[in-house]
Amino acid sequence: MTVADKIYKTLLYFVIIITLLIVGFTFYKTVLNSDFVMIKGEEAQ
Amino acid sequence: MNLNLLLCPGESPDFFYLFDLHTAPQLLYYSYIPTIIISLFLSILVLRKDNYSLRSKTFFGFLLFFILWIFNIFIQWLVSYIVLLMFFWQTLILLEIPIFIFAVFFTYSFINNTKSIPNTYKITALLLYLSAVISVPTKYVITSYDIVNCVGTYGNVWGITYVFEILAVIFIAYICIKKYTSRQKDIPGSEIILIGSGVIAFLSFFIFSNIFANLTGNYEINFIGPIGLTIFASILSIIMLKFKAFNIKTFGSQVLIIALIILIGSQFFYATNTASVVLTAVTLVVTGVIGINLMRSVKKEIDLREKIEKTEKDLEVANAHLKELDIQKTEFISFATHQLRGPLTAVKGYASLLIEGDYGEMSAQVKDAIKVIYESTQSLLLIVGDYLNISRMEQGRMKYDLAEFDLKVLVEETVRELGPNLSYAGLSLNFENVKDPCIVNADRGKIKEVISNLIDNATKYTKKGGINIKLEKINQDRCRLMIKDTGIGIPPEVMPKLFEKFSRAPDASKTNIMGTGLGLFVAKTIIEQHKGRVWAESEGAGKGSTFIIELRLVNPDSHIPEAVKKFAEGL
Repeated sequence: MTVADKIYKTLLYFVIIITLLIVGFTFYKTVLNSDFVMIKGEEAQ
Repeated sequence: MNLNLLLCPGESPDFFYLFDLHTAPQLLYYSYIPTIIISLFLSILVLRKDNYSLRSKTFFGFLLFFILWIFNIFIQWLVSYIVLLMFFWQTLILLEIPIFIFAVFFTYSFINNTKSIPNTYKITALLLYLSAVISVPTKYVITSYDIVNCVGTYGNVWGITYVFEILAVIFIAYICIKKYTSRQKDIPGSEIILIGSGVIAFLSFFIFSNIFANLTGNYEINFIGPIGLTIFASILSIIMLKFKAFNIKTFGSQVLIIALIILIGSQFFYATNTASVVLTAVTLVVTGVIGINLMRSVKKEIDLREKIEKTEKDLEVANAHLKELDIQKTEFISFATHQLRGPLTAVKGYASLLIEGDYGEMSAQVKDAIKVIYESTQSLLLIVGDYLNISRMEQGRMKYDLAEFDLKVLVEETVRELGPNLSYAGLSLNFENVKDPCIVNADRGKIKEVISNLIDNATKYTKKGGINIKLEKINQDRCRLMIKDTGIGIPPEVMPKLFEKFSRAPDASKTNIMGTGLGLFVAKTIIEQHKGRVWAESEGAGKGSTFIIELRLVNPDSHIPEAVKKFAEGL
C-alpha cells in the first residue's frame, strides 16, 4: 500500500465519520431543536 | 410555539403518524416508485452480471445515490411535519454530490477498462464532499423555511454545487473525448460515445430539472425527471450488458410487472368506497396472476435459449476435438498403410517368383500353398490401397497425374487382365467395345483402378451367370462404361448408401468376406474429381446389378497439334 493509498483510506474513514456526525447533528438541529430560521409565507414574499 | 409538532398546511399524518399520503399528487407514486425499483434492479443486475468489476461497482454507487436522492425527495413530498421536511431537505446535498462523483468514476473506469481509480481523483472527490458535508447544518444550504407553503429557500452552497455539477459533466466529456482520440484497440470508439453521451445526457437532464425547479419553484418537474433518468440508466445498463442481452429481457419483464403491481396496489390509498376497493383488489389479483405467468414463461424461454446456446458451444468444442481426432486417425492410417504396403509387395513379389519356378521346382502341394499366399497378399494390397486412397482424400493429398489417353484401349487392357479371373470363377464374359477412340483427359492409373475395382466387385458378387461390359459414346462430349452382372443385386434400401464410406450390403459379407466398404467410395470420389459420374442400377436383391461410369471426352479439336491447327488456319 502506497502513501497515497494510506492517505485516501484515512480520509475516507474520516469523511464517513464526519458525515455521520454531521447528519446526527443536523437531525438534532432541525428535528429536535428546530434551530432554523422559519418565516411565514407573507414574509418570504 | 412548539415547532416540533408543526405540521405543513393541510397535512394530517395518518400513515405511521408521520406521513400524509393524500396531499401529494398521484403522479408522484407513478413516477418515483417505478424509478426506485428499476434503478435498484439495474444496479444489482449490472453488479452481478459484470462480476463485481470496478465499472459495475461505480455504476452501482452511481445508481444507489440516485435512488437515495429520489427516496429523499419522495419523503419530502409525503412527510407532514415541517421539521422532518427540513431535515431531509437539509441533507439532500449529501446524496446529490456522490451521484456526480460516481458518474465520473464510472465513466473513467469504463472507458479505460481499469481496475482502480487514481488516488488523486478519489482524494479530490473526498475533499469536495467533505466541504459539502460541513456546510449541511448551516443556513448556507437552506437559508430559511417558509412554514406556510412548507418550502425552503436555497442558499449559496446550492449555487456552488450546481457549478460543481456542471464542471463534473464537462470533465466527463473531456475524458471521453481524450480517450476517443487517443484510444488503442482496447475499447471500441462506439462504446466510448454511447457511454459518454448516456452519462452526460443523464446528468444534464438531472441538473436541468433541479435548477429549473429551484429557480421557478415548480417542483412538479421532478415527477417527469426520474422517468427520463430511468430511461438513461436503463440504456447505460444495456450498453454495459450488451453481450448478455437476454438477461435484460427477463429483468425488464420482472421490473415491469412488479412496478405495475405496486402501482395498482397504491390505488388502495385512494379508494373512497367499497366498489373501488373491490375493483382495485380484482385488478391486482388478475395482474398478479397474469404477470407471474408472464414472468415464468419469459424466464423459461430465456433459460431454454441459454441452454441451447450452451449446448451449441459444447458441441462446437466437441466438434473441434473430433476433427482433431479425425485428422490424427487419418494420419495414423496413412502412415500404417504406407508401412504395410512395402512388406506386402515384397511377399507378393517373392510368391510370384516361387510360383513361376525362379527358385526351382516345387511339389504341387507347396505350389498351391504359395498360390494362396499370393492371392491373399493381392487382396490385402487392394485393401491397403483403398485405405491409403481414403487417407489421401481426407488429407487433401490425392494427386492426379492427368494426361490424354484412349479409354477404349484402357478398358480393353483391363478386361484382358481380369478375364482369367472370370473364367476361373466360372463366369461368362461379354465385352462390347466402342469403334471410335474415346479420348479422355484423366489419370490413367486411377481410372484403371476404378474399372478394375468395379469388374472385380462384379466377379466377387456373382455366383453364376456372367458379366457384360460395354463401352459406348453417348455423344460428342461423353462416353459411358457399363458393367452389368447377374449377381446378388442391390436391395432398394441399400442403394442410397451404396457409395458411402464403409457401406456394405447386409448380406455382402456372405459372398465377399474381404470387402472393406471403401472401394465404391474411392471409385466415386475419383470419378467425380475427374468431373464424371458413377452410379449403380439394380432391380433388387438377386436380380443382378449394373455399374455405370460416365466420363467427359476431350474436345476432338483440342488434341490436334498446334502446328496442324496453324497450318489449317493459314489455308
